[in-house]
Amino acid sequence: MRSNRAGAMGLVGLFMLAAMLLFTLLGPALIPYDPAERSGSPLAAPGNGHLLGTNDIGQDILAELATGARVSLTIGLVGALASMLIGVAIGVLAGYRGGWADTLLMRLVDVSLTLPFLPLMIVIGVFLGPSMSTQILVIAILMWAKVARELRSQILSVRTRGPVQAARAMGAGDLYILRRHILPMTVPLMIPQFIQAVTASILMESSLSFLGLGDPLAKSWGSILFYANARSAFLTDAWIWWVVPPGLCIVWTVLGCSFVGYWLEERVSPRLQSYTALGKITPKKTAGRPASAARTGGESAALRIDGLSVRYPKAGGEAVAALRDIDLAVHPAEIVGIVGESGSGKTTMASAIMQMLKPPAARTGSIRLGGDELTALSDRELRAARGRRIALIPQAAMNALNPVWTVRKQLTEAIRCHRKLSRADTQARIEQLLGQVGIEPRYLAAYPHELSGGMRQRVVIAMALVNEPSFVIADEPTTGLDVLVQVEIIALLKKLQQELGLSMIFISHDLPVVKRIADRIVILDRGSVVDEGTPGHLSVHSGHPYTRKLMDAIPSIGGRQMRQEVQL
Amino acid sequence: MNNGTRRLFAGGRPLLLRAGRKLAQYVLVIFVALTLNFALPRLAPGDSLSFAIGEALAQEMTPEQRAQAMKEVGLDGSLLAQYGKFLKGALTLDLGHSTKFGEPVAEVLADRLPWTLRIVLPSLILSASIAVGLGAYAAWNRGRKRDLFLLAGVLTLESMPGFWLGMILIAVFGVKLGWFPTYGAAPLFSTGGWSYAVAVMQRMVLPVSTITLVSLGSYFLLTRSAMLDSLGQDYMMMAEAKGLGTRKRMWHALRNALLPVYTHMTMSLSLLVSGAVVVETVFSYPGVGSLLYESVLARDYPLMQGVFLLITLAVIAGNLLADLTYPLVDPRVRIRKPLEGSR
Amino acid sequence: MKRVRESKGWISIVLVLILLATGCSSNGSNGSSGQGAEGTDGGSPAAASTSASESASAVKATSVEELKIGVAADSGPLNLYTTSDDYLLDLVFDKLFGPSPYVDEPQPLLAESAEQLDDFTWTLKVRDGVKWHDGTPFTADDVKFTFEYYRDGPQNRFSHHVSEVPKIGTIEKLDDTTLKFTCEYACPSLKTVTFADLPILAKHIWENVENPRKFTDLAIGTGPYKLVEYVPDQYYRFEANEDYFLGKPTVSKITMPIIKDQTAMFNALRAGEIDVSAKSVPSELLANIEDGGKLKVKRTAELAIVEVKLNYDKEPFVNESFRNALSLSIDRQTITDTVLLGHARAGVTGYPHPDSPWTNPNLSTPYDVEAARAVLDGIGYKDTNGDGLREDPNGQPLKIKLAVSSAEPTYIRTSELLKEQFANTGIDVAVEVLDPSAITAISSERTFDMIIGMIGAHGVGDPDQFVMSHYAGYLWKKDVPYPAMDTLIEQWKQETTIEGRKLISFQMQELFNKQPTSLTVYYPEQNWAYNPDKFADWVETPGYGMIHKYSFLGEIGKQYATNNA
Repeated sequence: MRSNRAGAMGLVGLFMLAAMLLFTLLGPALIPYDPAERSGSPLAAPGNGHLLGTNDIGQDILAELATGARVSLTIGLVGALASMLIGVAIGVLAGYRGGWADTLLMRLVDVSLTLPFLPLMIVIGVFLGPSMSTQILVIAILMWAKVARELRSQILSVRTRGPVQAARAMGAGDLYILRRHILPMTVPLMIPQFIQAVTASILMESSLSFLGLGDPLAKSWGSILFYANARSAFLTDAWIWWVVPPGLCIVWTVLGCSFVGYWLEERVSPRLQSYTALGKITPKKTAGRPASAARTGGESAALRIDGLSVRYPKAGGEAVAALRDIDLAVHPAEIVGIVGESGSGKTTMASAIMQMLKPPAARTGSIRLGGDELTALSDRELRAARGRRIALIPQAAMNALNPVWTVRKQLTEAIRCHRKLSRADTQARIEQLLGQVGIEPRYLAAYPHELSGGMRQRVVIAMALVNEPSFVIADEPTTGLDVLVQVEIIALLKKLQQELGLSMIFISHDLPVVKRIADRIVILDRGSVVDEGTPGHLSVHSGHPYTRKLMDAIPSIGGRQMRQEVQL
Repeated sequence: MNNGTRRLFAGGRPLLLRAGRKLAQYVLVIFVALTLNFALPRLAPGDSLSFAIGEALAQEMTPEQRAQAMKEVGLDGSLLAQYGKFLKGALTLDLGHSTKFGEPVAEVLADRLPWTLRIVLPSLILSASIAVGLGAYAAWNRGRKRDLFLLAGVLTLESMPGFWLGMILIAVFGVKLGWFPTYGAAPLFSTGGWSYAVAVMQRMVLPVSTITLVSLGSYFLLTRSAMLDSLGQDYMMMAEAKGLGTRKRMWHALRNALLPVYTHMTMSLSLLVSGAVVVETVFSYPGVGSLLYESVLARDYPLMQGVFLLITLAVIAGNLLADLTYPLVDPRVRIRKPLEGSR
Repeated sequence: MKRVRESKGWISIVLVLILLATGCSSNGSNGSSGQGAEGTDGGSPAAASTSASESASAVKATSVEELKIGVAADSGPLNLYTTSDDYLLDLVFDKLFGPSPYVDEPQPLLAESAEQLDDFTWTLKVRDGVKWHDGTPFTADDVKFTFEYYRDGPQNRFSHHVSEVPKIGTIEKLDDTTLKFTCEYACPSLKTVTFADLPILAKHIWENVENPRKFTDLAIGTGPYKLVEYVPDQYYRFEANEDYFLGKPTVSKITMPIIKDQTAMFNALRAGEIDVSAKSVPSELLANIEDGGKLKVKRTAELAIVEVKLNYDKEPFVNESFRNALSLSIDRQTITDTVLLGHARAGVTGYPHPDSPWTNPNLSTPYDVEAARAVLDGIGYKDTNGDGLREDPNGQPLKIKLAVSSAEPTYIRTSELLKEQFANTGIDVAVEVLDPSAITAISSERTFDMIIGMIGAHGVGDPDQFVMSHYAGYLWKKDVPYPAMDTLIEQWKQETTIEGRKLISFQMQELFNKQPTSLTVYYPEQNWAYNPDKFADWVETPGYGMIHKYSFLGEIGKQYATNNA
C-alpha cells in the first residue's frame, strides 16, 4: 500500500512531466501568437486573445512560456547529461581502476565539493559571458563531483560481487566487465541522481538567467523573469501574469521530477522500506474462533494462545499467511521453546504476542496473558503491560540498545516508564539487576558500542527484567554471539528463570540450544505448529518428518558439549 | 562527510594520519579556491580600470595614460608578479583595497558580514528546527496521508527558485499589502534605539522567510529519511517492548536521526557567509552575497578575491566545525579511554 | 567632517536578539537644524541684482528641514577622480560659472566676472569672502591650482578641457582676486564652456593628495551642501552650507539612500520612505506612478542620446556610405514607441542633442529603407547568394555584432528591434549580450563592431566636447585622417568668435550625421517622481534634470537654472 502511494506519486510526477512536455511541443502550434512577434500593445493585461497578457514589448507571454520551456528543459537536460557524463567517467575510472587514480580523483572530488558552489557559479557565469553554453558548462562543472563520488562507491560495492569476480576469473577484459556487469548494475542506481541533476540544472538556469548571466535573447523561463523584474513588473499588477506563470512552470517541472525521483529512490533503496506506519492493527473479529471458546478450561496457563493467525495481504488481493491457527499455552514457570527455520513465523509469533505486529499484518485469534485478553487492550493498557507483565528480549539484541545513550539512561528509562521510584531506589534496582546478569556497575556509564556483544545481551536481558515481569519472550537471544558467549547467555537465562520463577517462550532456530533450556518444545514450520513435546520425547519419539530432519541435523558432539556447558 | 567524520574519529592509531590528510585537503581547497579566484577574472574580458577610475575616463585615455592609471590603482605588473602579490596578501590576510569602494577590502567585508549573518543565522535555525519537526512527524506517520501531504508540500517548496519566492513575497507582502519594507537591511537613517531595532527586524522578515522556506526541503528530506532509518532499527523494537510511550519512542528515533541532520547543518554554516547571494540580490540586502555579485560585476578584483576567500574559509570552518563537534553528539566517535575489560 | 562609520556590531551577529539592544546605530552627529538667522539670500552679491521679493507662493513656503532623495548608484565619497555624477558633485563643488556649458550664457558663481582681453587671453575675477566647507578661505590660488592640476596632474574627465580643447598655456595671478588665462590657440568659449564645466578644488587639500584616484576623504567644496557622512553602498548625508554665497539653501538636510534596485526604489517612494527618486521613472511605470495622488511626476528633457557606437576604423564602418546606410535603416520612431512606450523622442535629428543651444536646428537623420538599399548596392554590398542578406564587396558574408549590456533591459530590447530593422535592409546583425564591464572592455580595446549605449550631457551638449570627441577616440581618433572633418576642425580652431565657431560646428554636425560614427537612436526623457507635500520647488536645468543645487536655492537658484539671472 505504501509503495502504491509512492508509485502514485511517481505517476503524478510522470503526468506532470508529460503535461509539460506536451505544452512544450504543442504549445507553439496551439497558441495563436509567435513569441517573437510583437502581437499586442506592450504590457497589456490578459485579455484580447492574450491569455497571459503581453510583455514589455508586446510579445505574447503564453507563447513565450511555451518557447521558453524548450530552452529551460534543454539546458536542464543537457546540463544534467554533461555532468553525468563527466561524473560517470571519473566515477568509473576511480572506482574500477582504484589505486593512485582513485586517490587522485577522489581528492579532486573532495576539493570541488568543498568549493563554494553558488559563488563559483556566479563568478564563472559572469566571466564566460552570458550564453546557453556557459550555463551548461557552469552546471556541468559544478555538479559532476557528486555524481562521481556516488558512482564510485557503487562500483566499489559491485566490483566484489560474484558475477564480476567470475567474469574476471574467466579472463574477461576490463571493458567487457564494465559494459556487461558493472554498468548494468550501477546505471539504474544513477537514475535518481540524474533526475536530481536535471532539477538542479533547471533551477540553476533560472537563477543564472535572473541574475542576467543567461542569454537574455534566448527565451527561457529564467530570462522571462529577468525582464519582468527589470521592467518593474512588481510595481504594477503585471507580476501576476508576468512573474507567477514562469515561476509556476519551473515549480511544476521540478516538482514533477522530484516526484518521479522520490518514487525511483523508494524502489532502489531498500533501506527506506523497513518502517511504515500505516493504520493500526485491529483484530479481525469476524474471522477465527470466538475468543470466549477458550475460556472454558479455566485459567491455569500464564499465556494462552488460541487460533492465532497472521496474514500479510499481497498486491493481488491474496494474503500470505505467516501464522496459521496456532494454539499454545505456557504454564507458570515453564520454558516453552519454539523452533523453526527462518521464515517459519517464529518472530511473527513473538511480535503478535507483544502486540507489536506492523501493518499491513492482519491478525485473528486470541492471546491471553494471565487471563487478560491482550488483543482487546487499549494502547495505554498495552503500554503498561509491555515490559511490566510481559517482556521481550528481541532478536538481534546486539543492536537493541540505543547507541547514543548510556546503559544507565536506558535502564532508568525502562523503570521510569512503569513506576515512580526515587533516584536512590532506581539506582539500587539497577545495580541489583546488573548484579543478577553479571555486569559490573561501572559499565552503567558506558555507551553500547563500548560493550562487547555478550555484555550488551546481558544489558538487554536486564532491561527486559527490570520491571519484574512474570513472562518473558526471548527471541533468538544468542544471534550474532560467539559460541562460548552463547553458552553463557543461555546459562544466565536459565538461572534467572529459575530464580525469578519466570514463564518463558524461548525462540530459536537452533534446536540443540532449545533442547537444553526448554521444558517443552514446539516445532513451527511455515506458520503452523507441526510438532510438540518435551525435548526428550521429541528427540526420541517424534515421528514428524520435519522434526526428525531437525533432530538428525544436530551433531552429537556439539550436543554433548552444549549440555555440559549449560549445566555449568 | 558523515562517514569521513566517523572514520576520522573511529580508529586510534590512524587518527593523526586522518587528521593530517584532512588538513592537507583543506589547504588544497584553499589553494585551489585562491588560484581559481585569481585566474578566472583575468581570463575573462573586462576592464578593472574603468571601474576603478570611471568608465567615461577610461575610454578617453591614451595607452600611456592607461598604463599610468593601472599602476596608480595597483593593477600593473606581470601576471606572475600579481599572483605572487595576491597569494602573499591572502596569506597575511592583507586583502588590499577595493577599487569599487576605495576602502580596504577587510573593512568592506566586516561591514557586510554582520548583515548576512543576521538573515542567514535565523533562517538556518528556523528552517532546521521546523524541518526536523515536520520530517520526524512525517517519518513517524510514514505512508499515511499526512506524510504524503507534507512530503508533497515540502517538495513543492523545494522546487521554487529562491529568487522567485522572494519576488512573490515582495509583490504580495511588500507592495500589495505594504506590511514589510522590501529593500535593504536597515532604515535609511539610523536613529538608534527601539524603533531602529524594530525597523531592522521588519526588514529581516521577508528575506528570512524566503531562505527558511527554500531551505526547508533538504532538512526535511534528510530528517525524514534518517528518521525512517532509525525507526527500522532494533532498538526501536526494544523501546516499544519496554513499554515506552509514543513520545519517548519518537525521541529515541529522532535522537539518532539528528546526527546526519546535525552534520548537514554544521556544514551549511558556510551559508552564513555565502548562502544568500540570489536572495540578497532580490531584497537588495547589503550582505556578503550581494557584495560578491556587485564585486564581480564591477570587476573589483581585490574585493572579489576577498569575498571568495572569506567564503572558502567559511566552508572550511563549517567542515572543521562538523568534524570537531560531531563527537559531542555521537558518543560512538568519541575518543576516550576504553573501559577496562569490555570484551 | 570625519567619516562616520557604522559601528561593527560583531556580537550582535551571534544573537539576533542583541540587535534590539545594540544594532548598529550611528546617530547623526550634528543637528544643525534650520535655526539659521538670516533670510533667504541676504549678503550675497549676486542676490543684490535680483528682485529679491518672491512672486511664486511655492518659493515663499519653502523651508524644508529634511529631504530624502533615493539615488540609484554609489558614487563613492564624491571624489571627482572616481565619480562622474555631476549632479552630486555639483551640490558640494562650485564652478566658476553656472549652471553648465549647456546653456547660452552661464552666470558667475565662484567667479565675479570674466573678461576676454584678446583671442587668446582672459582675465578672471574670483568672488571674495567665500569659504571652503572646512573654513579655509577660498582664493584665486585655488582656481589657479585647480586648472593646473587638471592639466598637469593625473588624468580625469576634465583634463582635456584644459590641455586640449581649449589648450590653456599659462595662468598668471595678477592680484589676490584676479587671474589671467592665456590659451595656445583661440579660446572664445573659455568662459561659457570651460569655466562653466570645471569644478574648483581646494588647493590646501589636493596639493597634499598623493594618488587622487585612491583619495577617499569626504569631498570638501564651496557648494551649498556639505557632505557630512557617506556610508558606502548605503547612504549620503548632506547638510546645508548656511554661509553659501547665493544664500542659505532652502533644504537644511539632504539624505540620499543608495537604492540600486529599481523596484525597491519606487516602492520606497510610494511608501514615503524617500521623497524623490534620482532615477527617472521607467516608461512602464509612468502610467500608474501618480495613482493614489501622493506622487507627482516632472518631465525634463534628458540631455543624452541612446546611440549605437560604430567601430569607425574597422571594415565596413570605415566606409562613410556604409555608415550612412546603417543610419537610414533605423526606424527610430518604432523603437521609441515600442521599447520606451513613447516616453522618449525618436532620434530623428541625430547627433548632438537637439536641446543644446550649440546644436544645428536643421539636422535630420531620416528613416529610408530604399535609400539605404540603394547606398549599399552602390558601394558593392549586395546579396549575391540570394539568402536575403548582403555580402561584402568580395562576396564574403557580412556579419556584424551588436554588443549590448546585460544590465540594460531596454537596450537589449532596442537591440532586438535594431536587428530586425537592419535585416530588413539586408544587413545581418547578431546581438551579443555582455555584462557591463565586458562592454567597457571591448569599448576601450576597440574590439567591437557596434555597441549600444548612452552618452550624456557632457558628450552631447558641450560644443567643445564635440571636437574633443573627434580627438579622443569616441567619435573619431586624432591620428586617423578624416579630411572633411579635419578641415572643419582646423577652421573651428582658427575661428575666434563664439558665433563663428557655432556656425562651423553646425557644418561639422551636418557632416557627422551624413556619415555618423554614432547612430542616434532616441533622446531619452526623464520623468522625476516626487512627493510634492515634502518639496515641490523643482526647477529644470539642461543636462541635470531637476535634482541639482539650483532647486534648493530658492528664487535665485531658479534664475541660474533657467539662465536668466
